[in-house]
Amino acid sequence: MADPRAGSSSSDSDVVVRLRGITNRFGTNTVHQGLDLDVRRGEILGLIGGSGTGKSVLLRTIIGLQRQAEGTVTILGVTMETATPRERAAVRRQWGVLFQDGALFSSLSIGDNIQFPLREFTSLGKGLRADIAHMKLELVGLPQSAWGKFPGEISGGMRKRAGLARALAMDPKILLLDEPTAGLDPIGAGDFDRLIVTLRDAIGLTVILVTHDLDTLYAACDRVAVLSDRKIYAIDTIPNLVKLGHHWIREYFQGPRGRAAEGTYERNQASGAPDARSAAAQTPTQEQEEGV
Amino acid sequence: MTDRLVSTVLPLKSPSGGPALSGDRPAPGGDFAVERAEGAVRLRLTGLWVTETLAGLAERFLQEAGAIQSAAVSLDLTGVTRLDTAGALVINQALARLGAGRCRTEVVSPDEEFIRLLNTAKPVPEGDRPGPQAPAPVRFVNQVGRNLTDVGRSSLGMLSFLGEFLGTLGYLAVRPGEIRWTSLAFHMDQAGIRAIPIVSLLSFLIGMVVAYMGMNELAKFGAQFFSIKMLEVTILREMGVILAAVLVAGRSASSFTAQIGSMVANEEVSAIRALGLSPMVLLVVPRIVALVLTFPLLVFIADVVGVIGGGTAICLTSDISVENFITQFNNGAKTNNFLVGLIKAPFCALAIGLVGCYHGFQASTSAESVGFLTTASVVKAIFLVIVIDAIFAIFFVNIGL
Ligand SMILES: Nc1ncnc2c1ncn2[C@@H]1O[C@H](COP(=O)(O)OP(=O)(O)OP(=O)(O)O)[C@@H](O)[C@H]1O
Ligand SMILES: [Mg+2]
Repeated sequence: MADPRAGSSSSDSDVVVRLRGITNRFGTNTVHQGLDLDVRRGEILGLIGGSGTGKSVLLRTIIGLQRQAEGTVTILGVTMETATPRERAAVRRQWGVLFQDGALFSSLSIGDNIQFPLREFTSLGKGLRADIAHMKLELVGLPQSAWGKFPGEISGGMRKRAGLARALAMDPKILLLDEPTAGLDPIGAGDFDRLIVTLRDAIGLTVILVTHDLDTLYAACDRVAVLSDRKIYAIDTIPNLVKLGHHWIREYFQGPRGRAAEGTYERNQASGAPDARSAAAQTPTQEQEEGV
Repeated sequence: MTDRLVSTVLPLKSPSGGPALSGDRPAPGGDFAVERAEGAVRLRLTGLWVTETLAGLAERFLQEAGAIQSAAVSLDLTGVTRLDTAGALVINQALARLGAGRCRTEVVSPDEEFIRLLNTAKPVPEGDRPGPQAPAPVRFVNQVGRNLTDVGRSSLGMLSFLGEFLGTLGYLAVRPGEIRWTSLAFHMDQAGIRAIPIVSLLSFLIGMVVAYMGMNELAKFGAQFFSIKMLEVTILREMGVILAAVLVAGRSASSFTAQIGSMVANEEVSAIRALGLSPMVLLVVPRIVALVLTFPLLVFIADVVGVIGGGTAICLTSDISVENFITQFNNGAKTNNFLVGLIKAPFCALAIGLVGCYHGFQASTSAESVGFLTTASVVKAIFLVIVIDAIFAIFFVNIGL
């Protein structure tokens, strides 16, 4: 049997998000029961599980949009239930959230969307604010021409990137993503996987992402947490998860789609083709040689 | 660019981004110092260089850096406890300014993470950004022109929508099997029957007010009986239909726009088209036809209740008895006034329905557009109702009705 608290051995300062004994209920429907989870600093954690197992609810619990019936949420050492409103507000600025369709404000242009948190939370001058927002636009790989466009005028993939830029506006420590690659074309999804790894390496993010995309799991995630039976059934690297022999996990990773994704990943590894992790590791050094 | 050296000295891991989050203590800021020694300048940065602490600091730093006249500048990040992409951006901007002044720059950092951040957060040159906004007067003229063409375009659009609607009616007349009876009945209930209580109530009150005010004024000339005639002309000819139309414009034009608009925003209308069906047949015809069929009924009810309201006021506040009022009303009343009021009803209903549905289709994918369009559709519907009323008034007076 897997240890559901596989992450609890790591030292306290290394745990960015700690959930203990989380129970979530909707009426009589218990979605989580005594769930524990530790997310380590700087890792990209994938969260998987069948439809309706409560992945989105768990993400909402971490953000505080869904108040759990029992249990505690500790983020960056602050226990959210007992923290003062000011402490909570301080923690809230340390995370960025990307909702499924970007959740951009449709009445604001992309540029204004990205500047929105800066305007609300800082007293930065107009020019610097715009400079920062332009840089974030560049960071998520959007063309500068997207700046003045409105969310209704750009594609779904671009909206996701813009949503990511807004989530990154305040330089959060934690990035939470709900199905970031759903609805993207394979090339766009692959780019997005690489982008997340690049950002993690460059600005030291901790990323929690809910996904059904096997390619994302292989290419971007350091560890994967499996939500099953109202708990985190296991949390580990993919090869180790498969070794557990749990029926659903084997089916998940070794079904036809799982094998295809694994094959792609291994081929890329072998040929040295642009795999997300290695590509990301190269990027900064290359630019360093160019003299910035 | 310059031959800046990015060096990593003092490979001491600084506790950057530690979990030390305290809400009570005011966050300490960042700072910098300029040290000059034998031709070289050393910019020593300390403290927090993050988004929250940059206000003011960034401007000072950039100004200071821009003023440096030296052949070699070294930027020392040893004292920096935390850096994020915004802070790195400001440092890069300073380096770019120094570099433009042909000076050799060098960054000293204890932390590889800082170097990575500096390599990530690069300023976007002004030239790469979309062009700046036009100056205010140009924008004003621009806006006026755009508003004017918008009015023209929307009028044309409405006309072509009317054409499309009439065409669809013709099509349905040939193929009555395609008429959505259920939907028609539903909207007759929603837009017509359910409006009866509020229309009746308001009409009753307005009738009372008109009669009461008229009687007060006319009593000064001893002409109380004329208030009955006045009530008849006001309510039957004008007020009944205008009142009902304004109410229905507020109720139904807005709900048509909101319903169709959110369907457009949700791509439901695209789905209807993709299925080879016509939104005109499915959505527009039932709504407008329901309104045209039920609105005259509403006007009729408004007329009757308005006269009853006026009669109540007259009988209660003067020595005119109920029988007296009825006889007087019957003797003086002309069917013309009633018909003139009623004949306007279908036209008003058509205008309200068209405006409501047309604006619904103008929605884009943003949630905000539906709100804007709903407001616009109510205002335009009421405006059109009054224009129609005025046209009819001139017309009827000219043909002597
Ligand atoms: N607001 C709510 N009210 C009642 N029940 C809810 C609510 N939100 C979620 N649930 C229930 O919680 C369970 C988990 O939902 P959740 O959306 O987290 O699933 P999920 O794991 O994200 O699934 P998917 O992969 O399909 O997105 C479901 O059974 C759902 O019915
Ligand atoms: Mg979900």
